[in-house]
Formats: sequence, C-alpha cells, structure tokens
Amino acid sequence: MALPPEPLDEVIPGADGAVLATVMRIVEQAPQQQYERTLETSLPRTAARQVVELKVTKVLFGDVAASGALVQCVKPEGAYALREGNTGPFVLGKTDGAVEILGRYGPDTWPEAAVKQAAAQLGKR
Amino acid sequence: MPMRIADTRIRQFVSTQQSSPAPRISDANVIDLLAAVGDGSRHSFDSAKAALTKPGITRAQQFELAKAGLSKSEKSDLGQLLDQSGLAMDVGAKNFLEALLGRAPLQETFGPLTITGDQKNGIQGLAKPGQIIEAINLTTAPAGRLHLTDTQVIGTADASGKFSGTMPDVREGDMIRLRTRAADGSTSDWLTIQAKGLETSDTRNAVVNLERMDLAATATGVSVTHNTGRPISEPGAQLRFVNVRTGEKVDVTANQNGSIPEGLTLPGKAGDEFKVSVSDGKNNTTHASVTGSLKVPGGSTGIVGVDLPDPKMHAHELNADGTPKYKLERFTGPLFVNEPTPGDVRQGAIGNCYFPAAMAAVAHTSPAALKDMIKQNADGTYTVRFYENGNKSRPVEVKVDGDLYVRSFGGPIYGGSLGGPTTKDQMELWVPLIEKAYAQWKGSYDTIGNGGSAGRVMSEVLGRSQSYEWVSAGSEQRLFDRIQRDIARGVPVAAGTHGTDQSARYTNTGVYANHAYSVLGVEEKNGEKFVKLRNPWGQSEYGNDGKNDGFFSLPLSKFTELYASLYVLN
Repeated sequence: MALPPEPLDEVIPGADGAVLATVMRIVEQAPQQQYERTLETSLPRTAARQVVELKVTKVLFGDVAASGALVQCVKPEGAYALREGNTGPFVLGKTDGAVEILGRYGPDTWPEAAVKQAAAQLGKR
Repeated sequence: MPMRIADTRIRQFVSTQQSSPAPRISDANVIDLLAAVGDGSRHSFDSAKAALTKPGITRAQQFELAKAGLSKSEKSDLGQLLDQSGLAMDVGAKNFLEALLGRAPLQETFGPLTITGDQKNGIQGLAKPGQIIEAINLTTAPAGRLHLTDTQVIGTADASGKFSGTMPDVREGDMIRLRTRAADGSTSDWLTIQAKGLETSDTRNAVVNLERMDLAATATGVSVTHNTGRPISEPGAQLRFVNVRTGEKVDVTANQNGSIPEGLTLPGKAGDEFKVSVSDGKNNTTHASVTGSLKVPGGSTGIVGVDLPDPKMHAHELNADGTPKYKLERFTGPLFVNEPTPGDVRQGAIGNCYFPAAMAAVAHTSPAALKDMIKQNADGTYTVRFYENGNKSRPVEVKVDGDLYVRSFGGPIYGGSLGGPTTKDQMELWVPLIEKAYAQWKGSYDTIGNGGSAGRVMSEVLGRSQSYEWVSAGSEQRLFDRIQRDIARGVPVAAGTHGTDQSARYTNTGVYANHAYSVLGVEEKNGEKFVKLRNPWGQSEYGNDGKNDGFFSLPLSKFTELYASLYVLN
C-alpha cells in the first residue's frame, strides 16, 4: 500500500550503511503475482522479492561496501521493484551475512542529503 | 402390507402425521426424522435436533450427522416411509431419505440455484440459463473489508443451465454463500454451502474481526455491536468472550450472516478488557488460541471534556492482544487556519492515500464545501457530514471529539496538517478530524486503511455521483480537455497510478505505484502540455524542483504512461 516513506530516524539506527549506487543487474526475481486492474489505490499488495547487484559509486556512511565495489543485495517483498539502471541512495542493513535494502521505496525513499544528515546526527560515518 | 416401524421416534412421527389434517414430510419436519436416525452413541434425540438446527448448518452437514447414527433397522423404517407410507413429501425432505438409503445422491439445495458435487474442481451447479452466479467466501470475508454483498462473479449458467466457476483461496470446510443474478438485476435467495473435496480435513478455523466490533458500557453491562452488513465471523462459529478482570466467560454463536446475536450484553463495565476466541466446531474447540482483546471504552482516560468513542487503530498499530500501540491525546487547535488548501493535507501512516488525495482535490476546487461539512459543537466535539453514496438526500452526520492517536514525539500518526504547527493546541484540525469521522463512519482506521477510491470520497464529501476514466482509454487531448474543464467548473479531480505489480516502471520517477494523487489542473509551457498534481504525502514528487512539497507538473505524455485512472464527479 502506498504509505509515505518511514521517518528516517526510525530506520537509520538499524542501518549498517548507505551508498549511492546503480542497479547493474537483477540476479534473482521471485514470481510476481498479477493483480486485476482496479479503481482502488493503496491496496495491501506487494512487489516480489528480488536479488540485485549494485555498483557503488559513493559511500554515504558505514562499511557495507566500498566505492567501486559490486554488491549483491536483497530487495525484500514490498511496495517497489527495481530494474537495471535504477540509481539512488540505498540504505543497507546486514542480516545473517545478507545485505538488504532498507526503506519502503528503496532508492526513492529519502534524498541523499537527508540520509547523510540523519546518519551524522547519530554519529554514523 | 402394513408398515412395521421399529424406531419409537419414527413411529411417533408417522402417527403424528397420519392424524394431521395435512400429513406431509416437509423440509421442516424432516429434521425430526433426521434426529431420530442421528441419535445414538454420540447424540441423544434432543442434542441431535439441536445440532441439526444450528445456525449456518448446511444440508450436507445435516445429512452426515443423520447418516452417522443410521442403524440397519432405521434404514428399514425409512424405506417403508418412502415406499409404503403414502405421505406427501417435499422434494428436499424426500431427497434426504433417498440419500440416506443410498438411492440418490444428496442434493445440497433445491430451487433457483443448485450446487452439484464437491468443490474439488471448483463450484458447479444448475441455475436458469443466462443467470450470473455470484459468490462470497464467508469464512475469509470477516478478515477483509467485505460486506455480505461483496460477491464475485464465478460464472454464468449456459443454455442448459449448467455453470462452473472457481474462487481463489477456498479451503476445505469454508462456508461459501451464493446467489444468482438475472439480466434485470434481480437476485435469488442466498444459498450457503460448505466446501468439500479439497483437502482431507477442515484445518482452517473461523476468524473473528475484532477491529469491527464495538464494545460500550451500558446500565446492564457491556453491549457488543458491529455493522451487520459485514460478517464478523463465520456463520455458526462459536465466539467466546472472557472478562480478564472477573474471569467470566460468555459463549455466543454467530448467526447465518456471521453476525453476533442482536442485543448481546456481556458482564462487565467501562475499562474492562475481554479476550475473544473463536471456533468453527472443528478447530480451536477448546478456545486455547485467543484471537485478541477488546477494551470497553471509558474508565480513567485522563482526557478532560466530552470523551466520545474513538475509531479503532489500523491492525498494524495494534498489539497482539488487540490494544493500540499508540496513545490518544486531545487536540484543541483551530479547525481552519485561513481557507483550506491542498497544501494543508498530509497522509499519515495508513494505506488510505485515496482519502487525503480526495480531500486535497476538494480543497483545491471547493474549499467552502470543506468548511461547511465540519462544525465545532458547543460541547467541544465536532460534527462532520458526509453523503452516503454521494447522494445529497442521504446525509450522514458523524460526531467525533478531538482525540487523535499520536506518535511518541506527539504528532498524529494518521492524517495531519502541513504548513503550520503540529502541537496539540495549535495544529489545524480539519484534515485529521474529517479523516477520523470517516474512519468512525466506515468502522475503524483499519477499515479505511487498506485501500479505496478517491472518487468515492469526493462523492461522499460533496454529495455528487462519481465517475472515472481509464487513462489509456482516451486520447491525451481529451484527457487534457476534461481536466481543464472540470477544474475550471470547480469540480475536483484525482488520479490513480497502476498497481504494485507494475511498480518497476515507477522507481526513480518520483511517482509511486498503487497511489492516488490530487489533480490540480493543466498547463501549457513552450508548446508542451502538463498535468499539475499533488502527492498526498506532502512530499516526494516528479522532477525534483527542490521543494519536496508534493506539488509537481508532469508532461501529459508521462501522465498517460504512469497513471491508470482519473476520478471525476458527474
């Protein structure tokens, strides 16, 4: 459902890093359920889980991935989907070795400056 | 050859009928015969009869109960009734007896709609040729937003009257309600069947929707009510209420519409908490698994002034025991600071984008209507007026107080106001209070927080009928002209994007899938046409103009690519 992005101060404390990156390829794509066309919006429906490969161009904070590195990340089932060429700030969390993209809308969830500012306020570099 | 009926109850039945002025084995009194053969080790005659007349029981269940107790001599008795008694019989009653003797398959119903066989390969049956078959799963409906009439079409009877259809997510034992709809729109009576042939056993328990149940302290205890237009649980399900303070238990059975019996009163008082559990008779029969808790409003709230019942929070904001995760605080700011504008509206953490999008659209074209629909009362409460189904002759007035659920930092968790202070005594209140009244009217924040139509809300606010256009259906110029004309005439317009399954097309555009937007107008710049829009979040937009305020202009060609529907009023 089309909820507004989560407040950054609820997400950054649990994040391990953030990077500016581009989606280079979709490594895995779970089956996407098709929904009938409807006049209603904000329905409780989700886009399928993906595993994507990101090319990092800049590290905003944390040490999840270095600039220039390729990193595989899980895009969890949720309100958005990625495709090759998508860019933006990706806030990342590490769970049992896997890197997960945080934020309700992935790279569209918060602007780069807001991510950096929120991390800095929590002393995350 | 005279009959030799061995079973005393069957003999009494025959004797009663033979002395009756109109002897007949009817669909009603055949229950006595079924109870007479259904008694045995598991049932007395009386308990068998009680079970056979339980609300929601299907013919198939009645048949199984009778068959389980059928002895050889009772079989002989029924055979004599059929072959020698000369008694007139209703078709349904006769079929019961024939089915018990194995002479005919059990027909689950008789009338304009007949279901045949099990549901292993869908729902098959007979109806009048050309009739549409509508169905609703009453087992799963209480968990959703469904009214009893929110059916889906599963098929159409062919020239021979046969139909076949499927429903998603049907499991063994589910209660399916069906009816036919003729070409003139008339519908048949409901028929309820219990799905079978799908799994080896019924492992899905009934559900009960606590969010839609209202408890209120009364002079004699605690009343339990809900909107009976929607099933609260499965027909025939047993609901158990346990008062946490006193330990007292009350069991009730959901009626054939899945409603709580009218007039239910529980022992308790304001502030009491009730744990609620449910059993469909096959699962959770000990009520060990509790669905959740309900608290009776009132008691010590600490709120000063008139304290009206508040709509329950969205399910995402309820603890496992049913209590809200957020507290209520009384807001006392002004209803309006200047004229209402689209920029006042901010969607909260709830899936109701359609509502703030509609409110901002109305604020853009008809601000006076918003000022007219909400009034502060002398006792400090507010009365908000909507129009049912957009019908001006059917106004609905909802009274609410200024209590809003707040985040830990004090701002409202649901809809709020932008562009001004958000403190309790200063925040502009028209947005959150109209939303609160809408939640109160519709049932709860959960009811309104799982999707809806912006067109419907605009219609309910202004008392005008709604319409829509699929964006892909017309030419770009026609869309442009339609928006321009409506906005110029003061008619609000909103738009919806494509569904979540198409969300990959939205990433990096600043527009979001499965989302509603207010349409504020059109414009032409340097020969290119644009649509002016607003995101009800009050942020996140196409084009990054640096303001991040939710307002943006989208090239018309991009609009037709990213948007699916246009909501308009007639």
